[in-house]
Amino acid sequence: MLRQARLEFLPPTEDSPKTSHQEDAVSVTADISSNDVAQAEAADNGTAMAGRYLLVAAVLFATGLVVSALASLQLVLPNLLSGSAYTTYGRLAPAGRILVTNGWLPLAGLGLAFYVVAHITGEQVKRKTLGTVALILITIGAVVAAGTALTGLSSGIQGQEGPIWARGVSAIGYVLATFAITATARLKADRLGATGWYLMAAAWWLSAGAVFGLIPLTGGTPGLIQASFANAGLNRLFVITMAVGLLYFALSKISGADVTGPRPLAALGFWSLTLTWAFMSGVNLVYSSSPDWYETLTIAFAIGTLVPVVAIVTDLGLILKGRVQGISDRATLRYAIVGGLALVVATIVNLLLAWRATSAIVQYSTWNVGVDMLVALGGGSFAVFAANSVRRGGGASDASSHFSWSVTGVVGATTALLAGGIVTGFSWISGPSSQLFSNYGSDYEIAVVSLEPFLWIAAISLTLYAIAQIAYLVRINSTSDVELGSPESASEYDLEFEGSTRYVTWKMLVWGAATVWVGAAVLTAALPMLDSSEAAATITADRFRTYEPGTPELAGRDLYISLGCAECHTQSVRPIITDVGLGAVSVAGDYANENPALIAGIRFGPDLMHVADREAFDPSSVAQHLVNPRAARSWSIMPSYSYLLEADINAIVSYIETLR
Amino acid sequence: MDELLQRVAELRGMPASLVERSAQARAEKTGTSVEAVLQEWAGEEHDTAERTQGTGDEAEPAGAQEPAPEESDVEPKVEVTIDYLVQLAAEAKRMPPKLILSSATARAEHSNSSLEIVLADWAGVDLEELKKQEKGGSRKEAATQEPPTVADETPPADQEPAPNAAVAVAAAAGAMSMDELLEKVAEVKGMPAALAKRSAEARSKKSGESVEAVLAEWAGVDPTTVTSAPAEEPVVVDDGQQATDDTPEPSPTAKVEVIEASPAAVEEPAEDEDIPVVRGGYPRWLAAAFVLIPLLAVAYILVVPNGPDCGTAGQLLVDPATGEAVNCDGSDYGVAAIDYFAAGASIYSQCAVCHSSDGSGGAGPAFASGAVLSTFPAGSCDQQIEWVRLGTAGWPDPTYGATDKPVGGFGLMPSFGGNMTDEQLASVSLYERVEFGGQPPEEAQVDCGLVESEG
Repeated sequence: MLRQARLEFLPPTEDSPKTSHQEDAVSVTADISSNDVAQAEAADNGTAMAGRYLLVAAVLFATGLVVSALASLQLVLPNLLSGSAYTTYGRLAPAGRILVTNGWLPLAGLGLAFYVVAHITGEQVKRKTLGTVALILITIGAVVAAGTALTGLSSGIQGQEGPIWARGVSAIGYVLATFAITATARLKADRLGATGWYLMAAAWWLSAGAVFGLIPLTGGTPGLIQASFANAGLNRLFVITMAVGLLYFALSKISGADVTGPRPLAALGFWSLTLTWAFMSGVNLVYSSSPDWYETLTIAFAIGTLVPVVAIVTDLGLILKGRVQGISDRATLRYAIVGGLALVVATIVNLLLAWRATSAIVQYSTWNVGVDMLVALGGGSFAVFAANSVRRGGGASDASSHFSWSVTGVVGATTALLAGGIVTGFSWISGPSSQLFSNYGSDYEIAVVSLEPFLWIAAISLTLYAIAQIAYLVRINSTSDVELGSPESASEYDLEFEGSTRYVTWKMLVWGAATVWVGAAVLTAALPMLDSSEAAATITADRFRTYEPGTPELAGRDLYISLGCAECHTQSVRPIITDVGLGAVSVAGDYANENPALIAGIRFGPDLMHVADREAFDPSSVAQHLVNPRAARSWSIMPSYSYLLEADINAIVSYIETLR
Repeated sequence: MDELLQRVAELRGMPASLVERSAQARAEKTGTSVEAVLQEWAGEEHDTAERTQGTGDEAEPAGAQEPAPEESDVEPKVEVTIDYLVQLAAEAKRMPPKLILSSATARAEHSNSSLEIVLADWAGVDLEELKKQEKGGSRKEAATQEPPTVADETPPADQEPAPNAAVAVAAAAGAMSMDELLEKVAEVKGMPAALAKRSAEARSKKSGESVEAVLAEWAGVDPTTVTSAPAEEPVVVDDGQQATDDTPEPSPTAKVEVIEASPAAVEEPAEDEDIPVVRGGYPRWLAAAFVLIPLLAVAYILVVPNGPDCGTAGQLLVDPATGEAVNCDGSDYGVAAIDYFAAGASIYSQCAVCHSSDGSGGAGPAFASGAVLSTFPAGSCDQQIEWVRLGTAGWPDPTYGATDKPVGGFGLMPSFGGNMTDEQLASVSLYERVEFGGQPPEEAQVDCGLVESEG
């Protein structure tokens, strides 16, 4: 890589006419301290470390997608694989989700961070052993957590289904990997540029979120707020920050633009992204029993997320401005553009999920899943694809079918889920407002049937997406030489620029990130937990929703958690039109005696908060419904639990009877 | 002198001969002595060395790199540089130079004009005049100007060396001899001819183009433009890095420009880094968005700190007794949502033909003054609905109502069951009972089956 020699006064040591354009840009560096030799080794090490991470990540990704696709098909074909508890929807869905969001995304993000940081600093990867140990720990943590969900040992906290020791192993892995990356990055802290800021911060959020998630959960609604904060750190703040960092990396590399200089928009985007996404963990809790001021705060920060999206998209646009024609690596460009667009859409739909007027329609619908999917499979995965395309030497000719199938999958699935969410929301509203039907019991047919076409599209799209990833993985591995990215191919993009610390110095980065995170933790996790205004146990909680050890009610509740009933049933009645007729509006105190509270976040089936209070409630028909859901209601998409022992069925029924 | 040379060469990690040549070129250009230049480089190196260390750099294999000599900050004579213009404009406008530069950059981008022109305009000086005065005096400045046509005509360089373009340029250059070309390049780039030649050779070896083609490209030789006036919109490069970012056309020519300008760029980091460089120029409305969005967020918190009022954003009231969501007026959801009384009133316009609009009767019996309730007393709204539905023709009994009025006694009552729904029939009955009979609305609603009785 001596051909990076400054100016062109010396004959280059290597002839590569193909990249003369980039070399011209290389020459711009005017950097007196070129570290060509060191960089060659660093690129090698960064590539190798990233290769290891990405290989494991890809396996988890493919597995998680297959599981998720199966689960999504079960929503339209409820009898699919219905004979066993291990393949019931309530277990497959969280398992797939864990593999993708707690396995694949962190591994891919951290792996690429190793590569990118080594690449932009020109340093060798430090603490390589730590990096490898971290890889093993993260993998163990994710696999165990997914296994826990599949075998029915789930903790019942959505997003944190794994046992605390497994989540601890993951958290240690995240911290170690972050430590290793940070050790590399700080050597050339002033050269990190936008790419580096985002990736470093992403790793820190990931670690912080995971460590926060280890704090034992408080009971009731405060516990849900606590869990939301941890989840949002892992699934939203981390993924989005990482995706933006990778997009900066990919776009600057393929266009030859320098992003290490002082970029006011990048800095504005960075700080505003940090500030807004860290503080809005409560989007799924709007209109629930969480304190109103907390929800308002969440919405205000959700409005604020428009700032980073405008700043970042404009800045990325400026990178490309006037350079698009000159970019020969169209494959990477396409991935990056889709990733960027997905982040924009994700921001907007996330705001609509929180904004009360729209939240009153789409909250608890498939819209919630749509937002998560846009972040993880839209922004997250396409940013990873783009950065990995650069790592593999760029311009991968084999990427075009992968690209088109992946885009089809993500667009199809998210569009269907978002559109389905709106349809469901209006169907929920039309019941009470027309007084013609209610949103439970046999009347729930209307909601289920109107959602069905959307679920079909989503399931097929997700299956397509899964197939595309597996096909690509297989093809890459059959040409494994390229997969691990030899330094030669990676070096096609070696550009070196002088860094700038104008807007984000290392100290600002570290202290700013820490301050924001602590601020967010205090304001949106600790304070709402301490807000005791509605936390006192209500009569509902004390009379009905208290579970003594050894009772069939508690056994039933454990089964409810183990079988993942909360994947489809909420226990939350909100003071809005959609929930009229479902009984008394839920307040925080209703869940005071429960840990975790099973409020949940999506209604494929009707709400169960006061199910035992409804006039048509009959314990024996509940038992029958569990064994054969389609006997009385042919349209039901609930899995059959015919494999359960009669005692278990009775325990679940006893639990359901406490929901009053 | 030799010691100095060695020292600089060591500091720079480049061959002493190259240092000497560069220093000579530099001295020639600035009008100082070679020694002075060397001393400066040797002394100034401390800064650079610090900077280098600051970046944590450690591996610096000699020969693997080739930094160019740096130039001094002190220019012996006035050149029409951006800095100079900024200074003039700052004086003229009585604003800090930094502010002037950032504003002018924004203005230039906004108005599609060049930074120089904007600055000269603000400074109140004639740019052309100034240029003439310093004509030939500033080769550095010349080097930073580029006839845009050249950039346009040169194909992107990341394509395989385009033979067509190379041939074309070579042909264009063919008119000039190699020496002429070299001289031209030397002038344009502000470097010694020998250096230019070596660079061109290196470049040609790498890119596969001929040396002449490379030189022609660098010289910006184009038979049509070379003799014409200086570019109207010069590409101003006052910072190598900025150029990388901002050069709108990543054409190889532009890049070459930057390369050659970079020595100049490197020397002024201390100054340049303090200048707030407005990059790429994003639209003005963005700045407004960055202010408005947070304001909107804050306003949201201030307006609805504890959630929305009932009736907005889907929010309902919670009945403190039952805990259920109810209408904002406390009534059960759905009851007040449909105003049956108003619906009944509009339907009654059909009845008014016979019973008159104030219920005083006409062809049909009167309803007013409680008459309707004497026929159908409280609790028998269903009878009234049935009577309206069936009319005289369909009524099964010879009499109707509590007072046993004879069917047909007041003439023909039409049957409305065919063109009215149950709800409409009930609504109009409700209207008659409340408006003319004086029955309390809540009671009448239950009576006529328009709301379920509690239970």
